Amino acid sequence: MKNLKIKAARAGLDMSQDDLAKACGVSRQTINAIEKGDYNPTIKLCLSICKTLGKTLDELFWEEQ
Amino acid sequence: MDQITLYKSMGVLVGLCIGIAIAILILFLTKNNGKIKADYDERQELVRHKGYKYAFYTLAICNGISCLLDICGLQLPVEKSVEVMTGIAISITVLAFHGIMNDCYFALNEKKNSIMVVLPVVGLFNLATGIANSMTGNIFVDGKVGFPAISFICAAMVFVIFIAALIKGTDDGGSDDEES
Repeated sequence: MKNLKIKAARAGLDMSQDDLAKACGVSRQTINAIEKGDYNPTIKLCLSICKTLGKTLDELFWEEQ
Repeated sequence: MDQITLYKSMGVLVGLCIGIAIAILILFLTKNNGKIKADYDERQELVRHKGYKYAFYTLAICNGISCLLDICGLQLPVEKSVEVMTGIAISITVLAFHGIMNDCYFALNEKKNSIMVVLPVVGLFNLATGIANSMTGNIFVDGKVGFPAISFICAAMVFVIFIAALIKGTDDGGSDDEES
């Protein structure tokens, strides 16, 4: 399932996938895979993304039923 | 051990040392943080682990086929060393190809452009060595393809990896393509 929340939060801060990837210490393709729902990140990377985007885990990764 | 064998062994040893030194130098020069070790992120590590698994199975199958041919009494017109090295080269190609197709061949701290320059240079170097060996008539030993032919196998392996990286690089656009 696509993670549009990360994409929206990133766009809100005017960050590209590459900017977010560099801030989190991962490759751009990894961020792309997360946004496309092709890869489930570890909690460590989830936290790093949340801190970079200034969001909570719930806001970015919790799926509403 | 006669003197020619001794010289040959010394030559192989010196060649091996020079090869390792060049490999370390290339590893150092292709990193952008002064390290030799490649840094991969968690997704890349995960995908690479799968690649190692596929490469292991490939090598096992190649060795299995080689053993089976021996058991059946079928002799390929190649020396055992060439047979073994071919299996290794195929498995390395599988690992590299899997990595390239899943965006985990190049590490986070690697200069992609430098590697894309080094790969064809290494391929051409191997090709030139292979041609030099064939010109001196070292390729065939007792009617079998001998160890010097490994240069051609290495050249083919490097060119396959280079072309795959080139195609994937073109496909990716090398830009900040959001949907790639």
